[in-house]
Amino acid sequence: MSKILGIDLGTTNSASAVIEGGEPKVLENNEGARTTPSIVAVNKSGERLTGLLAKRQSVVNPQNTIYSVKRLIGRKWSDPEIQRDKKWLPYEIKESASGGVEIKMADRWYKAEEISAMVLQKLKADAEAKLGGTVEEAVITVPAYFDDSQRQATKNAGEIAGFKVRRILNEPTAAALAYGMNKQKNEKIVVYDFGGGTFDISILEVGDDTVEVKATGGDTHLGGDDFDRIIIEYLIAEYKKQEGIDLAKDTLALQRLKEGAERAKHELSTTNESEINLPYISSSDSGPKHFLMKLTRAKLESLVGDLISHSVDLVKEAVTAPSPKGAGLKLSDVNEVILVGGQTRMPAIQEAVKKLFGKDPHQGINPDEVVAVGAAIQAGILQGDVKDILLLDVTPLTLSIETLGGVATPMIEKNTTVPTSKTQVFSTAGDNQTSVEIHIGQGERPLMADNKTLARFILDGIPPASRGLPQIEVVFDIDANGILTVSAKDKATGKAQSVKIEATTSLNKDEIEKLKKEAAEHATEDQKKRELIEAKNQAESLIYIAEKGLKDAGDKVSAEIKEEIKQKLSYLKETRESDDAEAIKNATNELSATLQKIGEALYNKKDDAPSDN
Amino acid sequence: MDENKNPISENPEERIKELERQNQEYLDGWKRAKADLINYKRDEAQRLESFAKFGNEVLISDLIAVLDSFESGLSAIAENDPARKGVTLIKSQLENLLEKYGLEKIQVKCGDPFDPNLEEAVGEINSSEPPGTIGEEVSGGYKLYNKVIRPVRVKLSKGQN
Repeated sequence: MSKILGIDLGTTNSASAVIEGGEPKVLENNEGARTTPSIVAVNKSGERLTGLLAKRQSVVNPQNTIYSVKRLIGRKWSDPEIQRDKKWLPYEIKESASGGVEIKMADRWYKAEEISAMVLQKLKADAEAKLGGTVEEAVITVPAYFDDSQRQATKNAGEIAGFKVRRILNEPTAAALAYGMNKQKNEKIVVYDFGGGTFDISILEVGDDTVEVKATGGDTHLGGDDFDRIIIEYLIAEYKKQEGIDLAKDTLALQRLKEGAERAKHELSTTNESEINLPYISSSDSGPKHFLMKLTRAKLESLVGDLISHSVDLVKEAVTAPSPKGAGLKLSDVNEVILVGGQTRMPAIQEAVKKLFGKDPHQGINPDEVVAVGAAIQAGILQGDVKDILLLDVTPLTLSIETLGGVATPMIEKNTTVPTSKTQVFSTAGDNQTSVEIHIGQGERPLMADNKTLARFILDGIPPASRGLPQIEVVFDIDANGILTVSAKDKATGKAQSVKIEATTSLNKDEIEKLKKEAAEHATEDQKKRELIEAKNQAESLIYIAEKGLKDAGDKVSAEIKEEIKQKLSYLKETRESDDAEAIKNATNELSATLQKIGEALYNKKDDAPSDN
Repeated sequence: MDENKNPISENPEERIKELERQNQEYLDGWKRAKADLINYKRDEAQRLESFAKFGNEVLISDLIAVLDSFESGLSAIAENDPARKGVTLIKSQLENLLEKYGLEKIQVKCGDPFDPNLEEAVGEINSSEPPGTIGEEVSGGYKLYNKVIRPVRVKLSKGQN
């Protein structure tokens, strides 16, 4: 079965995504970008271009480059929006026989849905290339304010492009789906969508498995492009003031300035100041001229401040105005706010929205892609990929086994998806140890004593051997129902023991939170304790090696070296009893360095030995 | 869990059918999960490869702006200025370095037909070249491992007036 494609068919840019392995994935287009300009053109040689390629020739072919077709789709010619838009659109439009809108592109008249279909066709072809198979079905998003005729026309566009359109989905609903808010009952959600050329507000109410649009608002002619224009205009005016040169007239200079300004705008989302440095941007009688200007975040915010406060006013109106103009709610009634559209990366916008509602807006998902992601999730639900039954549990806390010194050694880390299993081989801590205790615990603290004990059992009958020699294989296995089985096996004898612990994933929520909180509170102190124990363990094993080494070496090593080792050894034994991890480590390192002399001495003896020949 | 949702029928035949259906559903789900994992692994390998190639695309794009500045700078230094040679060498040092990381300058010349795969038209100009072909190169374009990361900015010829 082929995948259903989730499509955000935007005014300026479009994007598509699918569910893969249960997760939404935004697809790159043929040009390697994650969004595709919603532009179609026919060039002078009659060839049709779509997306980025159409955009690249738009300047020299404005009459035959069709963009913003979403402003026209499904509308009547008499619609005031059409009457307003026809004044500034560089291509020709006319009233169709049925009272709709037709668009002229290279001597032929097209319906708006035919143009949109060309964009959809490109998305389809690129998705097929990426996924390696045919894509026949799609979920396409539209603004919440679209009426039946606009929705039908969008659906037609999808069918013309060769899709079976499974659903026409509201853009704000898609955004809410992307954040998994479709399950939250009786919540009121505001979606603040600042796209390239349009600004949309939607107020949603989530009920029993339904998402209802309570009100919409915004400005169809306000967008991120206005921000860019204002910045460029400011920079050009400033430069003119400083140097008396108008950069707007120089194509190359303007190009470099646009790129520089865009870079600065992006930078100012994370820094407070950005330098636009464009050497040799122009020249005058007195020689070359450079462009060097600092743009601060404060300056940028003051330039576009009016646009932001205008957008905030519109939000207030859409939320509080009585129906049908608004949702008739109080600002404090709103439970969640979602930011959509690239322009919402600007910290001043995030701040303004936060101030208005008194809560942090959701913005974890790339705001350019969140609608496509939501469309893919809807597609996944229709396809059966996103079924509740397939939702896999995760272990809420780390499952560990106690090792030398009371350390909790993690076997299965928290948030691991189950079913899962993990095998690790352990050994004994003492010589001739014939049994081991398997102590299983749950929690994030590094010491077992601080975690919750789930079970303990003893594996005995291990043949006596030096420490570290026996191999005890421990397996942690959690099945799909959260049942943990821990087994331990002595590899030499095959003797095994196991224990079953029910429902490790269904700890109650408070308990999980408590354990997590404790872990966070004790993080530093625990780390120190753990370091101390590790240092002691290392010291312990080196003492063992050193004593064994001394015994084995016999008289092959000079008394001098032996004496040195003995001294360091007794010092380490003494230090080991202290609680100073640093001192123990140093003493361990010193002994370790001295011990190497045994090895050297032994090798030298070998070299000195007379040959048998 | 499922048993609660769909009480299993008393009738053995229906029960078999029911179980067969469930069986098929689980098998499908399992196959799908396996396939997703295999596909994911393949994609992951591709993603890693593309990450190795394009991981520093942003850095390289920013450095292209420096190359632009060199171009503009050189065109402002007189031919016989001794500084010219030095600046040219620094520029080619940077170009060679970027070439090692997969950057390639897109070569175009006036009179070439306009190709939106590689070029972006930023205007028109009177020129002796045939109308619709490249009349002037405004700024250079670059490919990173064959992906156009910046198209050549060109003005198209509108013929001689």
